[in-house]
Amino acid sequence: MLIIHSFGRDFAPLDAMSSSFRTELARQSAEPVEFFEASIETARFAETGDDGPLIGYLQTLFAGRQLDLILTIAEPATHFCLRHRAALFPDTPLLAHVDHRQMTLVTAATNATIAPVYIRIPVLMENILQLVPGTTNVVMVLGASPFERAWADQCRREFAVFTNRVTISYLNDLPLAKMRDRVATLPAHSAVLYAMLAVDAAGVPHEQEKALVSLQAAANAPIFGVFESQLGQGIVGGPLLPLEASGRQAAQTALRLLSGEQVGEIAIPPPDPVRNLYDWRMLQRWNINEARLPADAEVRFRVPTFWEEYKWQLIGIHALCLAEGVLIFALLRNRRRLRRTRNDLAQSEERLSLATNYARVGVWSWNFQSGAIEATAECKQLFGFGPDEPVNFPKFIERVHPDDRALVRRAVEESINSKSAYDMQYRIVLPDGQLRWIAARGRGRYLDGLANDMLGVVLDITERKRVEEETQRHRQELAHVSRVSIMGELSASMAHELNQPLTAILTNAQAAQRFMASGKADLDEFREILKDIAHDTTRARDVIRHLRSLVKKSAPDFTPLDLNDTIREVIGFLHGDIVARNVRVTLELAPNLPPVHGDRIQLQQVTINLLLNAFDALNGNPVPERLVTVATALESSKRVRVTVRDTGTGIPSDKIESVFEPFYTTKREGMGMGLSVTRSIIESHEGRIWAENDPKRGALLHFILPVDQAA
Amino acid sequence: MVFVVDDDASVRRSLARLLKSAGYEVESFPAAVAFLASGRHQQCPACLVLDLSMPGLTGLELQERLATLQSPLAIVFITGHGDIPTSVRAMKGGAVDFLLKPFDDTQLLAAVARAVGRTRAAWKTTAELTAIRHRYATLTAREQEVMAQIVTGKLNKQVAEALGTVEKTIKVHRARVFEKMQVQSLAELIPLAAKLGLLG
Repeated sequence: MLIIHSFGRDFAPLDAMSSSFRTELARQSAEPVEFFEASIETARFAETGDDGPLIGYLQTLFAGRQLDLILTIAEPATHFCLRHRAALFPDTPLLAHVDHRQMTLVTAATNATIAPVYIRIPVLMENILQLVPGTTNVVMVLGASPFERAWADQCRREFAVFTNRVTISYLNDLPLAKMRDRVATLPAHSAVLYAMLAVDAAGVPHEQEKALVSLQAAANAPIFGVFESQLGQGIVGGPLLPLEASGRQAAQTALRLLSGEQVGEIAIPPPDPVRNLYDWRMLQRWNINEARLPADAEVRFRVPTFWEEYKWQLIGIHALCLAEGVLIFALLRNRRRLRRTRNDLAQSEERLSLATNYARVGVWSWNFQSGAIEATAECKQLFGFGPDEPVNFPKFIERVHPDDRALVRRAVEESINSKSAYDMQYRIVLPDGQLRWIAARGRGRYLDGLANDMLGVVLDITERKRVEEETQRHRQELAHVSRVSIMGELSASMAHELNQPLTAILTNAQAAQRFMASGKADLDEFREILKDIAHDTTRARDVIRHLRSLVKKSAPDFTPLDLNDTIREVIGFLHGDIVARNVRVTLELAPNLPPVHGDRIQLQQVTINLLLNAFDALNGNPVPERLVTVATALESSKRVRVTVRDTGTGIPSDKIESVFEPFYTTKREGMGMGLSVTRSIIESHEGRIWAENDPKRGALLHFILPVDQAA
Repeated sequence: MVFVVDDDASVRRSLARLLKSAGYEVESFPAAVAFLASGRHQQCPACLVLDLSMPGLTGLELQERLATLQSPLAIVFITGHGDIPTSVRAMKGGAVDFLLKPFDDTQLLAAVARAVGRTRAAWKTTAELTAIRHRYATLTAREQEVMAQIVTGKLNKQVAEALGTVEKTIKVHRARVFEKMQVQSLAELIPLAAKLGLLG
């Protein structure tokens, strides 16, 4: 077959078409293909040359040889063959590898078809404006040959739509050197569009892409190209035409023609997809943001960055720097913290000293080896020691009140043995006889499990104790006054409880007198009478004692106390009231109730108060509905609960909390102190008292007392 | 016979002794209910010494019960603490006395004596009435009609007219009534009619 080039086989970009065609055809063909190549050398020249010698040469060359296919590359060669179709082997099919704009011309010729190259022009400008939006000036590089000038004219036509946005100049008339100067001094917002430069205005042919390489070295603006083969030679890139793919496409058509198919039977291939290809180096050089590239852009020649190349070395170096930085920072911080700690310590000591001074807290430490007790000035002053007087345990214990010494020794010993803190209150007697109350806290410190020393604080609580005692005394007085006032309310009970035995005594005595007077003296009868009189007298005495104990002013005497007994005693005592008020009292006492720690009289007072309140609540009820229940229960192993329940109207729900307030009363007589005093007594027993309403009927009053610890 | 009801055992025993020393027979009960259960309230001659305030049925309540049972027993109340409203209520209910504990033996014995007397009187009244009722019950229906007419002071002639018969027949009925009611005259018959409630 014969390949006819337009300039010569090595002129870019046409060489991409011919070489890929040759390679593909050779590869695909079942039989070896013999290539003959010729060039329309005259296409380089501006003036039209004589086609005769070339025609003659070709005719001579193929005389007596069989020519199977003629391929023309680009317009000059194609036009040449079409022009001389009749002379140049009209029986041999002609395949024109040329721009699709020549399609009509080619297909109209005898035995000719086209392998089109789809050169699209406006997209080239669109690409420039897309990548460098501010571009206002574009210079177009094309050579001076007629073929190149024709393309320049084609471009002028197709770029007409951009003329109001961009000024486009064509460099066809400049030799390469001038072109270089021109592209080196372009104004701002310029771009170069390099199509091809086969022959410059000086008539110098430029094979391959040497002209492009030369221009891009000098250019001060980005150079855009047209063909994929130009990528990597200095163009930025864009929708580049894959001429090599076109060459391969043409080879496919050629193969079919060589196998004997007729030109009319072969469909003209559609355009190959244009690929958006870019040169990363050029994008970098002209500072074109990759974000502006189309979505399907393929960026080539990407140079690995410094980071990508030296990733691990960089990480290593940074890690080292970081480690050192952290170390330095830590050291600095440590130093600062140390300084601050020193300050804090000094401040803390100052504060402690201030606080201990102010609160009259003494701080001491007792070294077990030397036996010496080191103490602050406040501490020594508190115990009546001189500021420089050495102190040890015997000297200390001498100051403690004789009654409290054993207590203090035991607390200290237990603390050391159990390795726990002790917390206690004791009295001291100063040399001048003054009594002080001390609150003390301390704990041992141990070395290898052995007691080494002991640290502690002491606080003067004399004043607090005095106030406490006074409060206690007031509370007792109040409780007493309240008890006395109960006596008024208990008149019925008292009268009844005393009158019963008195009646029996008097009646018995008078009966005896009558027996004697009548002479019917029966010694057995007298013995019975005297026994009964003695019994009733004792009964009367007990009632009076009980009354006295309630009325008497006495210090509380806390003992283990069975609450069931207390309740039974009180019920006996209130018998008169219970009967007089027609109340039925039911006892629900838990068996085996552990004793509580309490004062018998005060707890009786509590029970009396609660019962009298319950009785009062029943005043409005008809007799059969006057019910009071007293129940005891073991709340937990540590607490006992007593509940007094009545069937009265209950407590108004908004008053549930305030019934224990002083002066709260619903009765016309009475001060309203009963429940307030009751609560005060229960609280002094470390117990709790509260009221609630039975959802069905009446009120419930509960109190809880701790079980006696000794029990 | 004296019944003692008091919830206090000592008081009960001492009262029994005192009453015995005065020659009474005594029966003691610890509660009002126990006494009611004994069914002794129709006894005569007797009286009741009753404690006012007792658990359960109180003295006043027992008094009311006995009244509804038409018991003739007279009651002497004793109490450890008396108040005026209670004592008034007790006396209005027919109590013989209301004694405050502790009381003197003479007070009690006097009250008991009066009470026994009153019981006896009451019992006697009751017994008489019973006898009259018995006699009245022996009359025929016609005789009872005639008796109802003549006790209003009507003459035989008027009675005959009212009952639609003759004077002579009425005369016979009148004689039968006098005979059966065991009276001699109209003056004797009228109080009996009054006790029977025939005088409206």
